[in-house]
Amino acid sequence: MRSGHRDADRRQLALMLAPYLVGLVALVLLPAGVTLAMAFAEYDLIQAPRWVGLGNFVELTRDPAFRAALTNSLVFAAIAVPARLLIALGLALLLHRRTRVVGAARTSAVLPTAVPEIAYGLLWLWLLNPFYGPINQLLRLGGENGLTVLGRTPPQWLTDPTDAQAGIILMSLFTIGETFIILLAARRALPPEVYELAAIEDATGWDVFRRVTLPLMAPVLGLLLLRDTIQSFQFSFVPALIVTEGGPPPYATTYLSLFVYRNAFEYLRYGYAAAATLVMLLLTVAAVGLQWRLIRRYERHTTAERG
Amino acid sequence: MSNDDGLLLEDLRAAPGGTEVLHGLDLSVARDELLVVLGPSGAGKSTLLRVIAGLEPATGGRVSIARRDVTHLRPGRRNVSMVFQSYALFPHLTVAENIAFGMIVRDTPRAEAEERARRAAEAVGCGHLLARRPGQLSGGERQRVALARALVRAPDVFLLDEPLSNLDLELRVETRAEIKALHGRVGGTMVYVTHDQTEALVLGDRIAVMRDGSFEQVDTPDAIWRMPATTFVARFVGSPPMNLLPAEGPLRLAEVPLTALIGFRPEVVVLGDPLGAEGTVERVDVVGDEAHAYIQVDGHTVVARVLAAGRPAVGAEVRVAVRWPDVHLFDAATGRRVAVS
Repeated sequence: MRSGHRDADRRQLALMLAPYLVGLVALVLLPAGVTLAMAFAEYDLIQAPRWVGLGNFVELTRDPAFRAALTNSLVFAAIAVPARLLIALGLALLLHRRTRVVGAARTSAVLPTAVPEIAYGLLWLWLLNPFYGPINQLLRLGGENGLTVLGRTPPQWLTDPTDAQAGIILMSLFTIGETFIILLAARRALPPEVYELAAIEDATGWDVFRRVTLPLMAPVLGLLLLRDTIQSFQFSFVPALIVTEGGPPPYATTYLSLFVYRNAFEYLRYGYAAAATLVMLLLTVAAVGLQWRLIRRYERHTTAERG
Repeated sequence: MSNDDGLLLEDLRAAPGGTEVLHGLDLSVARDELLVVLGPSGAGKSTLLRVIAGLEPATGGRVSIARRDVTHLRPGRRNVSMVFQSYALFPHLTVAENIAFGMIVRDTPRAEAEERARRAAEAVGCGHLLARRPGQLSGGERQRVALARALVRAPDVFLLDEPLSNLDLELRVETRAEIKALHGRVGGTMVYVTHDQTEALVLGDRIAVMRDGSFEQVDTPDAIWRMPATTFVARFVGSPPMNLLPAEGPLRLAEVPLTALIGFRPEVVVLGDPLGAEGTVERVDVVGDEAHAYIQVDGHTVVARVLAAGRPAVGAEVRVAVRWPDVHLFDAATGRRVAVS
């Protein structure tokens, strides 16, 4: 009787989990397995896959395009991830109180994230246009002969390598709606009494931020840092594809994601692309592992298990 | 304003959220006095405390602390310390860092801050917990840490907002006694908010009974008990509450104007007096060795406190009388106390 009952429970559980498990296996695990295998092979959709061992990886180390993509991705992550987090945190702390204009301000902070990625990219293509784009028109305000007030040439967003990289990072700084909402909720969940206590002790705004807000929000910030690091290889994909097309030449804004995309779907080098994907994945795991250890150490330092 | 005023409120008004909650309060708390603000929830006790601390702006009147008008100063400039009902400890700081927080943000040298934190912790009996974090402490221990943090800076006024309400009964009684002893040792002007009448009676040098944003009576616990100024005070302090009957009701007293209310505590009700009014026992609550008998007398309910051993049976007919010297008189219209002639 009892075991029959449990069997029924199990059947029901299996039935309910089935759609998810099928999706997970068919759409994630299987392709991941195929990618892993293909990283050690050569495959162009026409001829049968050919086993090449570590050949793809050896080639990657010699490929200037891959090296550029790797460096670009790391620089992008190192700048864009912390900058996005800081901006979202700043906005959340600025807008967590309920006052008159806060609703509209919160909406505008989230809005760019709601724009479809392609449309967002096309919008920036116009914004960043060196001649008639609003950004450079703004920078030229008050200057003469197409120069800025300081007499310098405005950034050549789409043609100068450094300016183009800066442009892609700039684009990524506005799509922080989700991070902003999470931080807003986290800030609003903090108990008001600790802030009142800080006010009674005459703590300055900086002291309150440093000694109260930041430590209390640290767990959420740590989690968002991990998430953004994992995702940072993807933030740069659509902008690089649409706005800069990986250039200016040769590879100023070719990031790992774009490198993989091109090799797989434009050059039909599936094995090579799979090897690059594997490197990207290992890099993510390494970065996340490092951050995870830092966060755990911080947590051990500051909080102990609840009694 | 006398010279030893620790805290002075003059016609203090406040309207948090737009509706006036404090309607012109006047109060003077002497230095080293422990004043308990007692009232039901919603009376404005916590708002009063927050206005004194500066966390809520006053919409009228004045707050003076140690003969200094602080009405328009920010909280940090008032030299008060506060113990919150939730303790408001920082979960990421150790006990020592929590206690020293106020001194650290005021740029007290770290060594001095640590030393003073240690002494404050020892004064309230949590010196052995300095290295722990709030998450590792029991409710009573957290309460002590919050007290130590309030003590450490030697403020002009201590504000305590229902500090014992999150503790279980046994710990509450114990901590109550410790707070009283602590106040005896370290002194200081304290304003202690509670809705617990026992806490107020035990702790307070004086009690301010509050209702709907006004003080009903500010007096010593003795006076509050023996001479309640209004029917509200009479019924709020004491359990079960004082009986209030119209003077023309079943229990009559010569020389009392018939418009008055007569009030008498359950313990001065005499059952079985042959001259008493006839009543029927409706309900009897036994609390240990005493019992509270609810007796219906001519349409009015009278509560009598009797020994459990001698309690009447439910439904029994009893004769109810009152020890007349212990009766209070109140004006039926205003609820104010009237002198017994």
